[in-house]
Amino acid sequence: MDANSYLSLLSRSLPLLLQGVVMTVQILISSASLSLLLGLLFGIASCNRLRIPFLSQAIEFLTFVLRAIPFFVQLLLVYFVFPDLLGFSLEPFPASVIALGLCSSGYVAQMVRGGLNAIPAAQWESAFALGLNTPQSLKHIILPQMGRNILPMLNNELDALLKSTSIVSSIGMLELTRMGMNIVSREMQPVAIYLTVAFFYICMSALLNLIARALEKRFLYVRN
Amino acid sequence: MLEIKNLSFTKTGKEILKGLSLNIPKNRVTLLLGKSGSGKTTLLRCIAQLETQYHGEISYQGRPINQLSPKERSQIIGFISQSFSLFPHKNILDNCALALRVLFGTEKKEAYAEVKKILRLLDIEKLALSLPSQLSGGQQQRAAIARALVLNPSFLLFDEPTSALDPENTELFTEVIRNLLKAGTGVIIASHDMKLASKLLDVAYFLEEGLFAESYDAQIGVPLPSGGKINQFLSVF
Repeated sequence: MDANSYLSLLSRSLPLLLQGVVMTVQILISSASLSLLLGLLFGIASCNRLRIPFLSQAIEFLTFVLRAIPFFVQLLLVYFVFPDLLGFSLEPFPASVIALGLCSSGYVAQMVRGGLNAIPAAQWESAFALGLNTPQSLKHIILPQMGRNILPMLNNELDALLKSTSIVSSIGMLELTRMGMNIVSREMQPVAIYLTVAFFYICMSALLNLIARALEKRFLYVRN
Repeated sequence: MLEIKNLSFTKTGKEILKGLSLNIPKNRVTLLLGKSGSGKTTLLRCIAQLETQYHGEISYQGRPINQLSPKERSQIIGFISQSFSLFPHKNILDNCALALRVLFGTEKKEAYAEVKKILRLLDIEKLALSLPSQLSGGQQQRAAIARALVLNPSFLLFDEPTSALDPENTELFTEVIRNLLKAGTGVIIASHDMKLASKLLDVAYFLEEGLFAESYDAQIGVPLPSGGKINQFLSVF
């Protein structure tokens, strides 16, 4: 394929591919928000210092199950099996967000748990000695330090989540990969289209990395 | 007066404190002396409520400490750990203003003004915007004292305060303690630093295996027994 025909193919495909990028970003932001929220709650409830009898064990088991089942299987369960068992229907978008968010929350919970366990006991004790209760200590002292420490790992997880969005194409989500597949079936130019799709994923991943680096820099401090 | 009655504490099957009773006065320095593992830090932690599974009673003006709200407790007892434990993600000003803002809802400007007054007294006002990691050990300790003093507690508890300090900063620390006493704060220090103990000797308890082996009160006027535990401890220095 010469440069002119590639440019012509690109001009025909770009609007559709960009629509795919927008959908991918929407799925990523929604599922990452769900994952961070659930992961934070699960991680806090299962860290060594805040263990709640039975609830902590139940949450640890749940996060283990979420990590043990492949994401594709979780997607099929959320989209086909549970709606069928419980008698309701779920659109592909919420099903994708729920499946991605749940699956990822299992990993985020582990990061949060590890991050909280790594905060020195003296930090909790200092907050307690100043009269702060547990929620106040978490909000002002513990979570900011934990967040800074797990930022690089969270960035990895968001990267993995971005790549997992391509799997939701299997239930008909018109995200970037599905758009690419549709264009390939029409244009019969897999090399050019899939390379362009790959380029868009690299750009999104680079953007995530840039944001993560900027955040790390913003919250930089040296532990004493 | 802080009253401790028949205080016992057991951890992982080991009895660390064995029925201690003492009264701790305000405006004075109470030293808890003894070798490592004698129970002095545990006693301090029980008073600060960092250990709560104890038997016996710790009370202030007739009210058991463990029944006070965290806010009330923090205005009676301030605790400064061996490592000072400043919050590394906040500068000194924010470290010190945090409790005022969170517990009392004090406006930022007002809280900062209050904190700056205390930082000035401790001669670290120019470090207000520094992060803890940018400070020396002695400066960190003074910042930790400032953070506790913001709540104006009746008693300040120090666990091994000079273990991370050089002689010059140890000297500065004793000066800070004398100023605290003048301001009416009671000071309780758990230490095995003989030099510090000899400089601040006022009320002293020598702990051995969770019991008081000897006690001393400078105001009673009876000299330290020459063969006693405290004298032996101080004479090592």
